Amino acid sequence: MQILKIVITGPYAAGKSQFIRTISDIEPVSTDYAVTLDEERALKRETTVALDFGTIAINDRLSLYLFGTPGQERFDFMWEHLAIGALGYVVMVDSCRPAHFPETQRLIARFAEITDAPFVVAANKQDDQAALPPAYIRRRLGVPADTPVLPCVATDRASVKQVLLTLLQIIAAQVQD
Amino acid sequence: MASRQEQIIAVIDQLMTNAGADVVGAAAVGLDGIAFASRMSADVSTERVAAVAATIMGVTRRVGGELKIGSAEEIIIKANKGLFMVLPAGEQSLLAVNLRQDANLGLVRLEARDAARAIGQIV
Ligand SMILES: Nc1nc2c(ncn2[C@@H]2O[C@H](COP(=O)(O)OP(=O)(O)OP(=O)(O)O)[C@@H](O)[C@H]2O)c(=O)[nH]1
Ligand SMILES: [Mg+2]
Repeated sequence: MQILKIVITGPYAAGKSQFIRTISDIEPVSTDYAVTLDEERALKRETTVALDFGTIAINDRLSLYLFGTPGQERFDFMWEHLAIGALGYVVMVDSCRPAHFPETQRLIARFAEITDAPFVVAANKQDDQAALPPAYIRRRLGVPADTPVLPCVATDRASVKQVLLTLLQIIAAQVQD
Repeated sequence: MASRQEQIIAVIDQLMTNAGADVVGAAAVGLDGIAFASRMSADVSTERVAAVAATIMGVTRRVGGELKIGSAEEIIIKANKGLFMVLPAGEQSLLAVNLRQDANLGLVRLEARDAARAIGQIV
């Protein structure tokens, strides 16, 4: 059985924990604790402080180990640590919150420093009426042309799977080169 | 010549023999949070324990850096029904050890340090 490590990252409340919860074969490891900062509490009650962890068997030869990161920049040391050995990563962004785009850009730049692994961007919460389209998000974030920006609904298994399979194709193509 | 994994399993088995019943389980884990050799008891998930052990090490290194107290040599978590130890095993990996609540910590720490050193050399 081959194991591939994939990191799920993105800014605060983008839907990283939900993404792993939706797809994992095992009960995921979760380290969500109560939020105390008012500006963060406006969005939700709990936040990831260390990691999320889940696994998903792609077939009987390949399993993905998914490591979700905390979102806030104050936890960026965990980004470095969780990226060790990752073969690819997903940058999740809340499509309804353009206010978080600058922070997302910083995160993308930071990850490019941390690792050479390929990534895809998941434009999450596309089920929300306020969601901006992936093409617009690509432009706003300045995502390179060869990096996919995929529509995503982290609560929907088929959608999460599509994001992971797209990333896997990119990883496989790199291995072949 | 035994494979790397077999050699590491032999080290873990030796640790469990030397420490007697105090060691309930142990695993050698990459800094990436993926176990490469494990003798964890059946009621815990090796994958999950490996992921959290690497995270504990990541956070602890950060504590060492922030407080300028140097690099982490050993982490011991004392819970009300048992203990959990994580220590670096060479540069690339760590050893996670699950202990009985009333374990003889003095002895286990010595044995675990030896085992971690041996694993670090194999990796
Ligand atoms: N409508 C909608 N809501 C979503 C979706 N994915 C996540 N959410 C909601 O968005 C909020 C944040 O989700 P989390 O999974 O906690 O986000 P996170 O990125 O792990 O957040 P932090 O760990 O705190 O950075 C929660 O209230 C989720 O229920 C989605 O696809 N659609
Ligand atoms: Mg989270």
